[in-house]
Amino acid sequence: MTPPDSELIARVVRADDRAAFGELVVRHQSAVRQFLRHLTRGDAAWADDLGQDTFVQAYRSLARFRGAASFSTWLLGIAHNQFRNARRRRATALQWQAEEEPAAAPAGLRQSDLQQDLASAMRTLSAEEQSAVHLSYHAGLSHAEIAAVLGWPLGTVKTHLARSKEKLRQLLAAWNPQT
Amino acid sequence: MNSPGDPELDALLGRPAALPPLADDGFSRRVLAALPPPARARPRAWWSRPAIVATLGGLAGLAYALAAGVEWPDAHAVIGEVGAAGFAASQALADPQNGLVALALAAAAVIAFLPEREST
Repeated sequence: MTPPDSELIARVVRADDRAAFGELVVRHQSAVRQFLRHLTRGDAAWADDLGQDTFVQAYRSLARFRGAASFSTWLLGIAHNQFRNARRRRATALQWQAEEEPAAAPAGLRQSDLQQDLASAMRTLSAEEQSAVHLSYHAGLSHAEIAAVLGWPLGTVKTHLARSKEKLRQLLAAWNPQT
Repeated sequence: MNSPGDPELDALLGRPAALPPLADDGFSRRVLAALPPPARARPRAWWSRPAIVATLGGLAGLAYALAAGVEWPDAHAVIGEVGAAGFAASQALADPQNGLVALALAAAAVIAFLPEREST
């Protein structure tokens, strides 16, 4: 039987059990790295560097983890902070606002192209809206958990999600008149 | 012009969640290698503060005993005298001035035997 996260955390805090921490990393690496890949816009190498920093920071702070949120939510919050700090340090020219507005609706798209359209439509959302959508639909977090990860009020999360969905719905409708 | 309804949009948005999780590909191993080294308890040096205080106290007691000409057979009597002196001293603590001195001595002892801070 696999021990729950709480037991592994206790072993790390009590006895600096590296194997237990390794098990926690194995369990949560995918969610953390996927979130970071989303934040870095698919830069897998940068995302993995940030992922490593995230887990090292989590290891250092584990004694302060109180379990108010789930461990995965706590980790995603650290990942988000790592990304924000790294972005500030890098001061790169990552374009976070809409890269390109869809000038015209692509004509003649089939129903099966909806997923591709959705990916294009997602890129027109702001970084905040994209993060909220990713955490809600891809990471499966509740609104309260998203608020904890991103450090937003609950109302802001709901607003961003509602606004994002409305934007996506309008874009998809414009691109797919037959839908 | 129709727009996708909420269930349809939710289904579209939720589709990536069905993707398989990212393979570890050595990520966990790299994280464990990047962790800070384990904190080891530093072996206590023979000259640590409590050891010095205890040694000096023992030497002072020995020097006093030798200076006072105490012999081994007298030790039992000395112990009795120490006990009686201790009782007298405890009664003397009723005096606030003596109590203050005792408090200062106790504080000094606590400082002497506090665990030393480990440096990493």
